[in-house]
Amino acid sequence: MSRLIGLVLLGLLCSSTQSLAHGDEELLQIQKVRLQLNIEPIAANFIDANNKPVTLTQAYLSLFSVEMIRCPTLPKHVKRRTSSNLLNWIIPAAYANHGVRFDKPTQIPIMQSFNLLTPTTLDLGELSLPVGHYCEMNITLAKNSKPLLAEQGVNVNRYSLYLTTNADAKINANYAYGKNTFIALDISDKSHELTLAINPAKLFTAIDFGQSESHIARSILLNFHQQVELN
Amino acid sequence: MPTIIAKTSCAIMLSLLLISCGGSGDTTPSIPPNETPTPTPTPTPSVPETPPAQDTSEHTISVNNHPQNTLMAQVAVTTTENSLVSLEYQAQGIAAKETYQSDSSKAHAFTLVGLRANTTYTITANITNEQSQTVTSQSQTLTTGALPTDAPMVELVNGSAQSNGGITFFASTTTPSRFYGVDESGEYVWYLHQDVPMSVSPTIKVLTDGRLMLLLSREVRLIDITGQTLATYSLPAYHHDAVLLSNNNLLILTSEVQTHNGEQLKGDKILELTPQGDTVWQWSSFDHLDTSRFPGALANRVINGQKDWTHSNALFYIEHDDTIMLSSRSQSWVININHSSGDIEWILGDSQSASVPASDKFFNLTSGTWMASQHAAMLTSLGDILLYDNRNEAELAGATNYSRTVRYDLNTSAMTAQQTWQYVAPKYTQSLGDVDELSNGNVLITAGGPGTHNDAHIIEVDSQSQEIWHIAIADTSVYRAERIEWSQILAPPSTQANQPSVPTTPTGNVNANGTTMLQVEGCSQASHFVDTNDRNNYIDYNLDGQTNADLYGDNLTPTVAVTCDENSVTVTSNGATNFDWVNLGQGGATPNAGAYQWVIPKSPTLTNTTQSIPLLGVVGFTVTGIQIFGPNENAADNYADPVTDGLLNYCGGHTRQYHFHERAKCFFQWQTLGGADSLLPAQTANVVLGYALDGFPIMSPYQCSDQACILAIKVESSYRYTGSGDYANENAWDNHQYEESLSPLDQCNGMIDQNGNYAYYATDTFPYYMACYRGPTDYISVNNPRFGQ
Repeated sequence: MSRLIGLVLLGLLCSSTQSLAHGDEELLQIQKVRLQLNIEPIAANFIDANNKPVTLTQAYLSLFSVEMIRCPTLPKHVKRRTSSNLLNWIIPAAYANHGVRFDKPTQIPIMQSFNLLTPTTLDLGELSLPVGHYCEMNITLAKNSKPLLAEQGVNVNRYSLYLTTNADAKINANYAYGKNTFIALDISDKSHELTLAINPAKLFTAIDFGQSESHIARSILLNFHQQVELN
Repeated sequence: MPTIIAKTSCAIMLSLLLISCGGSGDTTPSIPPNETPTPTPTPTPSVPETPPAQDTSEHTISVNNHPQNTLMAQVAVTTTENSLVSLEYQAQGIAAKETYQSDSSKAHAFTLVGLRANTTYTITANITNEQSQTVTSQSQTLTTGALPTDAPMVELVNGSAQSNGGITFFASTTTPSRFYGVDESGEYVWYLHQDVPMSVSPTIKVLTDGRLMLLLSREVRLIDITGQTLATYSLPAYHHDAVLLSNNNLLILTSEVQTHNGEQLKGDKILELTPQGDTVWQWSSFDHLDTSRFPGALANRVINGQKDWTHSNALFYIEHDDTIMLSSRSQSWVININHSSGDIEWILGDSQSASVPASDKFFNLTSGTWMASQHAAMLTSLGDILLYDNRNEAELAGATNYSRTVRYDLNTSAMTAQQTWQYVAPKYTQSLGDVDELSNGNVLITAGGPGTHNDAHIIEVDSQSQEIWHIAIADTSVYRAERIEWSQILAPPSTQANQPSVPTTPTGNVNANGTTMLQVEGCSQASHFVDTNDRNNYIDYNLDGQTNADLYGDNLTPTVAVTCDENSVTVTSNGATNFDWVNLGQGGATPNAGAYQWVIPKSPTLTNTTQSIPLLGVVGFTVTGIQIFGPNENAADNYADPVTDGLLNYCGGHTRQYHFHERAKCFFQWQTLGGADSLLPAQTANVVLGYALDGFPIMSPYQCSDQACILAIKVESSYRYTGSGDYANENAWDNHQYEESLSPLDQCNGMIDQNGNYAYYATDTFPYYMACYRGPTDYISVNNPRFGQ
């Protein structure tokens, strides 16, 4: 019964989204956009923000998703219709689905851990982006439930961030951290290929590794988005 | 004479009709209404007993039972001219005592302390006028009430006129307990009537000015002998001891954990805190002691995965050379620390297996034997070191087990130590223990720990090792006993007033971390709620100094309010979080607020049945007014476990209309804008995190490991994960199994605590908060209509 109710509510939500996507005011033209991920490897040995040498023995980061967010151009009455009050009426927020689902064509699930000590080049897939201007990009870091990726007995997939040093420090976070960053992206009717470039080297050298392990992890998560570019 | 009779008659009537008494005009002040007699278990009216002698002035005297304490009395004396007044009080078989003399005035109020229960006292006032003429009032009588029923049985084993005398304070280490005091005959004459947060190592210290210093849970409180609070220090978690310095700063013992050679060690840190709570000095055992030295069983004891490496239990500040003595029970050392430099000046104890850098700090023992697992080291007026030597059997393999009090005379130039005296305690005590030097040179010994038997013994001995006084407290463990002399008890309160003032706790309710809490009269639950309206209580995760309200609008300023009536507690909240929003791309780019109201039973009773929590929606709420959901997502997410599968942010919840699935972790980890290390005390027992809809509290998952609460042990769930690791496609309920043997927690994730109260525990793993309800369910469907479906 609960599943049936869920499906009905999901249907209501989809129909609502449809009316938004194909509203009277504008007919959206969808453009497929391929997205590639490049992660520059970081040096295992570096000098931190406190001029102290650090040697990383493991360094993993788990990306959860990336989403492109259009600049706000919708007519006002459409905006009103998408207000939380309307959605709340359709689906009471307390029971709304908010788990691990990807039903937005502007979003690509990644859900994978990456070894930051080695270079990564990966085709993330295809976004379906309505033609227009994009002002923000959301990247969320989170643990994932991919099969075991064991490093010295630890399943690093279970962490959004997992580092170890030769000083026996274990720096990790198992919670999600997401942030919208500003971008200037124009999607036209031409084909597009985008690259999400992450250069974590500067991120690590900007951190004081003399802090407590949990605070180091927080500092890395807070500064991560500054090291991401969309090209 | 007729006038005197009239005034005395008026005194008789005081307890019945205040309005007609008090003299005429302003010349005879009336007794304040708050001193109106209040019924006590056995109140007795004041009646004249004997005719007045040499009474040439007009006065009234009113004697009443103390409204809160059956062993105290309140006496008011009024005179028509400025006079000095003292009181004498006595009972059959009890020596008369005389109070201090009040200042010159026409109104004199006394609180008599040190009365025995169910005993009739006669009380007279000695009144001296400005011409130095003294008259004695008519005797008044008062019968005291009964003792609190929780007072343990005390037996006077030995009493002697050579005793230093006074009231001997003690408290049971088993909570709930209360501070009590007995007189020279072992009769109860004092107890603390206020409710205070008792620790498991409850201690009263008697300060030289007669003030009493209570060592409580996360608090040190200074009171006078009548129980009135003079100052309060709200403290971080500390253990065993605190010392008040002359500048009103406090030295306290705290614990810290470090990993050395692959092992987690629990060490000690001494903090010096100002009355405002600022740390101005600290000393860590890890910086100064050998982390590879584990001399005996205590040091090798592993609790919660941590070796009890130092287990310090006493501090003693030596003013003349500005040093601190630290008693480390696990090391069997007394360590003298330079307060200025932090350097170790000397170490008293066996140097066996001590590291080379510290080798020049030890004394050569020229006679006697070293102590083992000791307590309560102090510097005496003779300049030697006095301590209680438990001599734990495991530390002294092959030796005869006995606990003792021992003195060592030190020569810090020649670095020699000599055992000059010992007194073997009447019982072997494997833990606890205390010793104090009394003003007459006698020694008060507390052999109060478990060992040979379960009774606690408190003994006064003289320098010739003669037992002067001895009581036995039946089936009770006592950590420390302290003695206050009658001269201090009967001293004027002005002695206390002349002491440097200590700031009291700020108005309102503040937790140990400095977080302001709500305060609602008659609603104890409210005191556990964070005042989220206070910006200082905002958790600034991203360190930008801004709140959600600053960034997204005033409607995101969190509001929470709590009210109580006779049967229920009502919590109203706008659901806005007092911590930074993290955009996880779940339904919107900004946080949200709403309007919530939950009503729960005020005094839930444990039922014999369990009721399933609602599968969806609210099952409880935090003390910040944020809803708590169960351990599953909805059907679209396969009822999966949101912790292992979903996107929970750093605080253990998610979505715009924020709700928790996991313990509100950020309450215990990140700084607040007000500068607190964390909103709620981390890794601490007895911290309320929220309330379930059946009214039972949800606790942070820590419990005291032992009586002294040296360690807070984490409480783990009794549920075992049985799934395959495919978290996204697994129903959380179908893939966890309750196993009774895994932890003390029941199927609902709750248990009855040491005080006999039931609570749920916010565990690390499934079900995170609770799996079912054990309390009344009357209100639950009001808060969540899905309950029972």
